[in-house]
Amino acid sequence: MPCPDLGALRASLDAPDGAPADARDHARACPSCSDTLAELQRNAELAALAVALTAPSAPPAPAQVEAALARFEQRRARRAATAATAATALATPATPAATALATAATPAATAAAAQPAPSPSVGRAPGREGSPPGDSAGGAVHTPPVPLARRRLARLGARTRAAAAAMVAALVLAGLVATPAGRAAAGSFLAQFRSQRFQVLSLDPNQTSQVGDVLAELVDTGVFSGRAFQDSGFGEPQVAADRAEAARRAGFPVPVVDPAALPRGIERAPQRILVSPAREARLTFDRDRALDYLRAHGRPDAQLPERYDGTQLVVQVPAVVVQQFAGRDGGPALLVGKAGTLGLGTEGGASLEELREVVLDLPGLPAETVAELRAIGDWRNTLPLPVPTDEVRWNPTTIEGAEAIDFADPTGRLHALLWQRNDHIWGVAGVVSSDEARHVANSLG
Amino acid sequence: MRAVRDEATTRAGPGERFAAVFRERYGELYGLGYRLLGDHGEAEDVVQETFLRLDGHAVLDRPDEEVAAWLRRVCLNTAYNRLRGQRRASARLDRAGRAERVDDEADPAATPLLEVLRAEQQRAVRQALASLPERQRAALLLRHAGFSYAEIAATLDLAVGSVGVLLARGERAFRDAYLDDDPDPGANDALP
Repeated sequence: MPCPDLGALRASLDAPDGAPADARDHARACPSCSDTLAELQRNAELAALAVALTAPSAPPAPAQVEAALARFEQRRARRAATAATAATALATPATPAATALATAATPAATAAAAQPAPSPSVGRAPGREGSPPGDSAGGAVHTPPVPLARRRLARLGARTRAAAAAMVAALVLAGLVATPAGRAAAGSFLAQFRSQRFQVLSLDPNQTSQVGDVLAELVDTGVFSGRAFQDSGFGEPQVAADRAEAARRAGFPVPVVDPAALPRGIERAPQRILVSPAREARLTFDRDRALDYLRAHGRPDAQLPERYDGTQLVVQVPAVVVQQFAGRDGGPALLVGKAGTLGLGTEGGASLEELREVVLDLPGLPAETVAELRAIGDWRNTLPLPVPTDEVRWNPTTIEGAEAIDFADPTGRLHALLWQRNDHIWGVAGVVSSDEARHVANSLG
Repeated sequence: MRAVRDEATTRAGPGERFAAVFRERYGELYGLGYRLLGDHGEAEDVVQETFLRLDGHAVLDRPDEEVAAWLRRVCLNTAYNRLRGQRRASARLDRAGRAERVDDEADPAATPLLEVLRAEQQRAVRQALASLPERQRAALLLRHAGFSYAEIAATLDLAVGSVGVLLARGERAFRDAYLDDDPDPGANDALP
């Protein structure tokens, strides 16, 4: 028998599970193979011992698995609600910028949108060996743990976290959307970016994760800081008594939703009307921390002009009005929203375009995503909507002649339409079919 | 660890089928996530994300063994995503090590030195694992978590006959990384 190859020898150690035992028999008589086999065995034994050290001391008990399943159901429900809400780009007043910018969005923005309050799991001490999550006395059902990137954001206060994530998302998106160098910085930030149309940016799970990590680290490391956000009014939306009051607070007319256009099972009148007024938010760029960040991520020769330090990213967050309609169970089943457009710019030593170049060059962003964003021509007026491909499906469409995007969750139970017209962002979303959402959208005039 | 097809679950409706798969596979996926990440919360989060991706996915209509392989693959990839980037991986591993030590230090009477050493060992193992190419790391983890060659092959989408060589190389690489200050650097010279 010729000498077996390395794989066969290794597999012979696990026979009968692995390879034929005759490889081992051969090795007994072959000095060369015998040495190799002995070494393979030592390596395998070391790996087995070492990997065993990392195992949880006990598998989850059935009750813990049931608790995990319950947490999963909660998370699934929250994700579905978030997808519908985010897809309208209108309905999360705690983080309007995040939602408007990042429809169905990056992990950081989604985390901020979906979790305005800190999760109970945030900041908890790691469980000890043998204490898988959910192993608490009484078997209480916990809110699911949040991913690490979200936990980092959670070190900030809830409002600051939401606002900071939104702002960084704004910078990344608006920055990435720009075309390459050569564009002169605009004199005022209003001239630098103003959303007038959307472009979907499909992100696979890896890309979503990568973008989310970068966003979280920018906030976490203090490259961008936003203490002012704590006082900037980001928070819960206010309930308006009626459309007139909502219009007064928002500064634009609030459309009447034609009851005849509403799907069956949806209440004819809005359950409530929520208003989030327009506001301005600022995020300060720290040049030294940015250099530290770049150098810590494989850019030892990174340079940034000193004048960049202290530049403020200014985001004009539009007013948002959401009319919420109840379904048969009394819960929200349809959202009809309208918002102003989003403005973005800088004040200080760096222009938006220059900050965009910094962001474009950040280590860790997926190259395909950067390339896709660079390819957008009308960067000053095009709002990219990062859409995770594993969570949201979308198709381009039109609403009354305006370019629109039709979103759906993978189950097909939730649909949303998003479009811009007459300097406003419009959205319809809910537990409805695509046709039903379109019928409502067309009725808004 | 061999997947057993449960005819009852395959006849059930989508919701029941999903719940049955969740119950059957949660433990093994959780074990994989914990081995890689060293944090109970993160491990559960990885498993939850894995099942979120399964929700509504066509693979759920496939036989149990295929579903299980798909879940393991997604689980590992999700965990890898969290470890992506050597610096971030190292920082997280360090944090995981520090967190466990801090946890121990918080109650020294209840946490003997052995526990501290154990935490340090775990950190070293995970750091060595993180340095391996992903497929080698996956093969090594799966094998020493008790999965068969066939299950490893299905998870990594390769021929069963290729598992052995992947393991051999992975274990050698692991040894090199783990015993970074190996007093006998020529110990592996016998391997081709």
